[in-house]
Amino acid sequence: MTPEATSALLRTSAVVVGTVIFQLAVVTQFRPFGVVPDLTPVLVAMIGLLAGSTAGAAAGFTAGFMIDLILLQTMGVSSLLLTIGGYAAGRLRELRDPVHPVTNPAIGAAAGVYFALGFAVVQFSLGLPAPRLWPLLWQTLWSGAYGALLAAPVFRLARWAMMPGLGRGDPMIRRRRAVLAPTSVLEKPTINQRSRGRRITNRRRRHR
Amino acid sequence: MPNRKQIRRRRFTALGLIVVSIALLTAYFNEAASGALHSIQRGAMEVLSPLQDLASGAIKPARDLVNWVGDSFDAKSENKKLKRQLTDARIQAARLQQADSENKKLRALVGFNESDRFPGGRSPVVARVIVRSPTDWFARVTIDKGSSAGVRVNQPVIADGALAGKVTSVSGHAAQVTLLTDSSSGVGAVVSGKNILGIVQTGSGGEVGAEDLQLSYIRQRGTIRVGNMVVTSGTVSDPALVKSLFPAGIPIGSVSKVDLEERQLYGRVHLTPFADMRDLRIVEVLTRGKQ
Repeated sequence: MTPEATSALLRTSAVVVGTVIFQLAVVTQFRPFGVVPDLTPVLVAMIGLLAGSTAGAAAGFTAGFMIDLILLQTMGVSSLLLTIGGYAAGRLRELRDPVHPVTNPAIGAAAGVYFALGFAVVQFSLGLPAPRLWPLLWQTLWSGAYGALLAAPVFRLARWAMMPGLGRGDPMIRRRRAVLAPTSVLEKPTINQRSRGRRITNRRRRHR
Repeated sequence: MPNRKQIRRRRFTALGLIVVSIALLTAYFNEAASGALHSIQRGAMEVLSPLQDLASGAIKPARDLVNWVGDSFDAKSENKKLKRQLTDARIQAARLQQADSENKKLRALVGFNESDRFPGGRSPVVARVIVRSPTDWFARVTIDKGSSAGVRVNQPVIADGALAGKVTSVSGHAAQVTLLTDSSSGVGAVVSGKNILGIVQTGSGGEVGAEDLQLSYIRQRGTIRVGNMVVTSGTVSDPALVKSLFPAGIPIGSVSKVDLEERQLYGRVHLTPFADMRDLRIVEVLTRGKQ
């Protein structure tokens, strides 16, 4: 393993463990609109989106394992859900490589809704009496909204943690590349590319 | 582009982690409370509780500020309600004072032993809430006092002078409290002054901060009125039967609704808990002193 990858791994592990403790000890003290914002699924999704399915699944398993351990809940429930969530976000990056500015909030919202609903489904299948429908729906909706709102800062945090190992895979660089360069030779160039092209042509003429 | 080997390795890793999660889930579900996984959880609680305590304490000013803003909004409406309650309480206090002096005289006459009454024989240990369950599926909190402070499993936990829950897991310096609003909770209770027994359970299947509790399995629902106080009975079902984990006479809540439509074999009425489950910060564990 390269020193950059080791550094990224250590930083990401610290961020995952720190976020879980921060979530359970600090964030749970606040319940805006009766729902606790959940950072963990958003962080796991962002790690998957940044570093791929293996990293996403591993981060999800670690975070879930810690949540179940600290809250003395049924072991395996959160780790199962977050492993699948992290893997799915990673697969999305590997297959589609989304670079649209709305990607992060959308993935954050999806992660929040997925975790709230997935947790409900697993607990219900384990035989726990379900909360009433309306509070459950309310919680799911707000989890999605919080996920969308938290996506930007959590993405920054995950990117900072993984920076040494990202290299050319950094989505910020990929996004800029996607805006500046056409993906196909048949594609119409953007205004930026047209002016850049004009500048290059003018420079060549002057040289002649 | 990743090659076939890389793709296979990725799939294998994810699948392996999912299998481990399912294996953990199955093992934990079939395991007794003294099992290995439960012990690991208690160990982790012991190791991580100082960190959580530190993190929870560090945000106290911010939390106080947020709560102050929230409390200011609620203060006006609450003021009216409290004034009305104060008037009722004054009348009740005058009556109780008289009854209390009579009671003392009668107890002295018959030599009644008070050891089972709250807080007699119990020494309350004050603890701070350091972790809360973030989902609506569990109403559990972790407190910063454990077995080193005399906290033991099944001891009652009091907040705002009323029953909030019981201790369900203990490590050296932390303990987990399962609140009355958790789906697994149930407390033998009696409607104060009416001798109507029942069991207090959550009205919503374990919703954190739920305002609704239910007094179930009661036989004489007709005589219960809105506003009646419900306290712990000190017994499981009948005074002549098994003793409850909770000493008698701890306030739980007041009757908020008597639903006559709920026609069942046993009656059921709705309660509003006195303890603010939504905003538990400081609690008292009724211990039997350091053992």
